[in-house]
Amino acid sequence: MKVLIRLFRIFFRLGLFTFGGGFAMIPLIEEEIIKKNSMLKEDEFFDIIAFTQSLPGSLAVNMSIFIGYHISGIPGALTSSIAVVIPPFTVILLIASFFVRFLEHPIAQQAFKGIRIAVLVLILLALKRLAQKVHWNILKVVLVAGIIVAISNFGIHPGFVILLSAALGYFVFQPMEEKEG
Amino acid sequence: MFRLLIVFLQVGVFSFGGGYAAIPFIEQLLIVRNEWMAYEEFVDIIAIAQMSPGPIAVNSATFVGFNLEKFLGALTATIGVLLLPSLISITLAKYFKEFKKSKYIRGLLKGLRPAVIGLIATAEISIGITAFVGYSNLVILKSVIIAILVFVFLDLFDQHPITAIFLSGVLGVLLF
Repeated sequence: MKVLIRLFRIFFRLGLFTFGGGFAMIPLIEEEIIKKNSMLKEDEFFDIIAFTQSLPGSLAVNMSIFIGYHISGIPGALTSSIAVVIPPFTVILLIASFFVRFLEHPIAQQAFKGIRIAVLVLILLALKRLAQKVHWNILKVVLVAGIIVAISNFGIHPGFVILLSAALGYFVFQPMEEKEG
Repeated sequence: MFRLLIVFLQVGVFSFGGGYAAIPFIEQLLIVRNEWMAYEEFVDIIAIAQMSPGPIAVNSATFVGFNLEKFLGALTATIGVLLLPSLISITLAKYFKEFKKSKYIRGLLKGLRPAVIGLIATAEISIGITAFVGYSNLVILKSVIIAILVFVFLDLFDQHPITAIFLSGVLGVLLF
């Protein structure tokens, strides 16, 4: 029980201070879990980071589940993942309750016109970072182009795209790249 | 309410790789298929999600849920977006060591990575169209200037996204 309370307090803090998604949480986890409390080893943490990136869902929540499970089994996983979600949930609820009125102000509208452009650039840079992680070949370029056309012109469900691409990766890309060495 | 849950279950289970990966699903399922919000609202939510603590998918779920059905909606959407991935993670945490080096996972990822790029690119194009098409040339020119400044600020000077959002907000007030 003591461990769970400690886990809750640590992950509540992590949830409160992680701005901008899962990767921002990594240095905080290193400080709180590995250095201060030595509940986890550095190399175990790196394995968890690598693995959770290939899972569906939010990186921050999945990392919390894996670390919580590592420290204290299923109760640990539940404790840390609930604790990490409570602060952002509360903050967004507060923002959502007051945000609409705030947006009607003309200065806020001008500011958000600028901010929308920044979001476009942020997504573009995320795309660039993701693209650098892919071992590109002509088929994968065709796949990306095909997805854009399939969704914007034919309204294909994006979940179908995910399933089809996972199958392509396993049955086509993997054997192909093994042959190339 | 039930629709809300079903939609966010899908957003949760299909968004691989965290963060921006949820964006195309929210866009397709909430804007294109259900018309629950406008593009501008969606982009504002992404900006707010960047500036507040927590994952983008969770923040968007809370926000959209609240807009549609107040507190209960926020709770439903947030639980929906977290439920399936959490169940998967808890199950896999047990077999973590064996899965880590698995050839199967690596094979699947080889297809998933480009797919995520294609999906996010699709969402980016739609958002870009609503930001640029249909405005006067002067507004477009100002938007391009902001885009270039933010790009340089983030990519060349390696600044934090939150600072970039504040910068673009100030530029918006000055230029528009």
